[in-house]
Amino acid sequence: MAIAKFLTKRIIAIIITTAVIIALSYILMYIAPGSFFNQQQVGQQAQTLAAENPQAFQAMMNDWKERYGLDQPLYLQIWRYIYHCFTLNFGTSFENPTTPIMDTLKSGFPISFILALGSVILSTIVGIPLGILAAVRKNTWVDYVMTTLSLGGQAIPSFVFAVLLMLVFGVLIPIFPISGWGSVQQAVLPIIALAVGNIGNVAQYMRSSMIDTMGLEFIRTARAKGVPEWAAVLRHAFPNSLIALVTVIGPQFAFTVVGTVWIENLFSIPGLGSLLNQAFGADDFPLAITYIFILCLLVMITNLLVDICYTILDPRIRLK
Amino acid sequence: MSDILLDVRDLTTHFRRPDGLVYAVNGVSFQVRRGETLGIVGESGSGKSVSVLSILGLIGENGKVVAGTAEFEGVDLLKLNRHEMRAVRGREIGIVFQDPMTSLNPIKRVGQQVMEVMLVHRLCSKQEAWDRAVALLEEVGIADPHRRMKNYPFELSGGMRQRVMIAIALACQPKLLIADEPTTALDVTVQMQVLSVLREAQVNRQMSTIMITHDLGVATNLCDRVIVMYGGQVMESAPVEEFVRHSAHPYSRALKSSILEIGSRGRKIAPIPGNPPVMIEPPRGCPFADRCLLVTDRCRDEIPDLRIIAQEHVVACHRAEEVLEHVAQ
Amino acid sequence: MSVVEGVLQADLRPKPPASRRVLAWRRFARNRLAVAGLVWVGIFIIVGIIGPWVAPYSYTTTDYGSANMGPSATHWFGTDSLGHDMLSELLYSIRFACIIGFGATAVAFVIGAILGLLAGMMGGIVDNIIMRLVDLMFAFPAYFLNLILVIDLGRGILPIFISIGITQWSGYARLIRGLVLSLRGGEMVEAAISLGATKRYIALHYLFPNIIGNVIVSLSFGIPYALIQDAGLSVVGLGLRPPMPSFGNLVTTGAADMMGYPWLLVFPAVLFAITLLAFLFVGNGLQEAFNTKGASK
Repeated sequence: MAIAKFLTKRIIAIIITTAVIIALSYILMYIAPGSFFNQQQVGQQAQTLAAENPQAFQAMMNDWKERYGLDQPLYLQIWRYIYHCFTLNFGTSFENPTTPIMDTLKSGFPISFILALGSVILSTIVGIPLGILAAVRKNTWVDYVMTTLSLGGQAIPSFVFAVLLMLVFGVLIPIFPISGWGSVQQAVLPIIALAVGNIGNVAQYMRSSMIDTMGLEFIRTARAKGVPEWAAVLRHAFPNSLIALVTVIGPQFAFTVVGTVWIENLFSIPGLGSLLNQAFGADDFPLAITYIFILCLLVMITNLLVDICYTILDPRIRLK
Repeated sequence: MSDILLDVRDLTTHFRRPDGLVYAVNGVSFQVRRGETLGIVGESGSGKSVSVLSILGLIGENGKVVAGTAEFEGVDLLKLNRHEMRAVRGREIGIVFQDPMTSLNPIKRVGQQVMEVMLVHRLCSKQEAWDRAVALLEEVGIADPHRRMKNYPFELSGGMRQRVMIAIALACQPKLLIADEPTTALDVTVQMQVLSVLREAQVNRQMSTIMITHDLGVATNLCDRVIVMYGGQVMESAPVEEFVRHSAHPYSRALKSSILEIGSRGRKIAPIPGNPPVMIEPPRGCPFADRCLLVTDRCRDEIPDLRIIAQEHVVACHRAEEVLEHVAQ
Repeated sequence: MSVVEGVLQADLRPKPPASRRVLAWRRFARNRLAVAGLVWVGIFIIVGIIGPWVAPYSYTTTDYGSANMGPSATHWFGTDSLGHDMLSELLYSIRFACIIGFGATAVAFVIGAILGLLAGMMGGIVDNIIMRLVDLMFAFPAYFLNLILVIDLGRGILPIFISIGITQWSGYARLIRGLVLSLRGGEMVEAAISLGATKRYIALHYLFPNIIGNVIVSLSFGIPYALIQDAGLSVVGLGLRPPMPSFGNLVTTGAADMMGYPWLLVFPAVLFAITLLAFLFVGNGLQEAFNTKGASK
């Protein structure tokens, strides 16, 4: 019951937050210079058409107003967008009035998702053992090298790793393709570039969490029972540290989502990120709002899933 | 078969701290006979826990045994490699730690934790381990052991958790049980229950026990012999009867007069002035000199040797005879 | 009293115990990576200040005759497809990065400090609203808000650092609010008051020293973060408007040309990576020196 209440609360919070974000985005786009949400400016842009063919212009304007609800007061326009987003009725984009945005999402989303998921999985399976190793070899050169490298991984954004990887493994030693999507080879460099920073993050967090846990008394109990050291580390310390690690994977996913935007642009991958330039650069606001909606929702749902994982992993929370 | 189960000689343990060494244990010797309960008494920081845990290498990465031997059934535990030491821990020597709240793994079921010790020493199959664990929980006085096996530590009270710790320590039928302040972290009301569980187990199994405690009452009630430690050194060691009647060290006497006893209403409680020393320097004189009422210049300059003053009664004080005479009057 | 006596007395006076700041500095100085990072950051700032004066060419100078040249005596780091001198581009990039990094962090800190003060002092509903806003900022990637703000404000230096600043204030607000709250209540303060200390004294001697470390650490992580945000805007083509050079612009255009002219990519990418590392080492060193946890982004 407690869990049902917790879930309801969180889901309501997610809906409210998302709605606020949509409203905020809409207002900010509405006031932007040259915003097509703002009728007067649309009028100015279409001046030539208005001069040449007033009827056609009027028809176009009406069509426009109707399609985007621009003849309504601002708060209703905002509400309309929120409503449409939550009913997954994203309409058509400004640039391609004939293709529903939903179709674009259907082709782009799976690609971005594979990219993000691949990098999270890679960073977890590489970062956790590295972190454990550093913790077990605390204050040795293994630890220092690992800590410094993982700091580097966190300091440098994925797009810098991406271009360096492209240069080394795509140009100097051309073993991987550096653009496009579709084959496994094409996924290697983008996923690695996205994962490097996260590996550092996971490794460092795992290290400090393991060091904390290894100092706890139940580890001494395990040793006093005659449990071998590796088992004290893997069977006793590791599961306890993992619970703490789960909490950083959520925020990390947000960075990964932003990372996919960069990576897709650099590697010319036709995922959601490749739409971003069209959405924001060409002021295609219906697309931009959809974009923000989808990604924010994704980040928040991930955080919720992480919290659920957390409660499942920790019996102290699960059973209370 | 020798009567002595554990023979510790000249044990010296240091701790490394960022600001220098701590001389925690300085040349401690003691013996544990088969079937006997030895009480080690002292204030916190006296080195009583460290001296016992050193023997099993359980003092953390900053602690180091720098000298001494600890022969367990004729084998020096301090010379064992990691693998051999593991075979002793939990199997030959069981330990009950001070704080049952933190000494159990919070995310593993109680039953698993009891079974684990039998399984790592390959005593029996998983199924058998389960049955034995249930029996053990019953033995230490946990009601409804089948259900409790599936509980997590946080679902148990402090007293119950300590019983689980005892069950773990007893699981492999060890020859020696070390109880490191087993009741300190518990409510007064459950302290006696836990102590009687320990006592019963010790009697039923004929095993030797080391009871580390700061509670003189616990030591004199439960133990056959008492060792008093201070500043990382043994101050006095005597059979319990002898200790109760003829303790000859000023520190032992001070400890005795600093506790409340039932039936001693009206008697003056005399707290020991000052604090126990933090041993950041190697000892030079008697560690108790700064707080001792009978202190002389000699006490500050010369470490008193342990001297036999009666049968099985040794004491490390230059003025032990005077103390005894004074008490006799 | 004679001069000699004065000198003698000065020498005889017991040395005052090292202050918190001195101790923190000593801890920092022991961390070799942090010191190296600080040196690099120092050079970076100096180059940022003098760069435009020593740059051999302006960033607007194009020379189609010598486009896409490799490194040479006239163009140390080569030239790009429009004949821009790479060295000059880099020098200007450093200048702009300094302005954006420090500017954005300053904007963020000012906004955060004002909102944090308000939240802490007003309490009640104001506090509630501001803290919900903080939660909101943490709930979704600030990068997207950044994109919209850039559309609103434009793509010059000033608009970019303001919009990055607007998205980065939430951590500082939390920090400052915490300071105010601990000033208003809290056991340490009560204990100090009961001993007769004034609030001013408490603020100066207890709370301020406690918080200053957190703020410095937080700021030192904020600067490289702002640099990443700025470059991240360029990656999707919404950063500083060309021909103004920035690390993001140089890396992105360099990536497009990397097949033929790798030096266009290598110099800015490596320089940018080293700079970010340097800032991180400094931040990390400060974090250790002040012995604070968290407060980083």
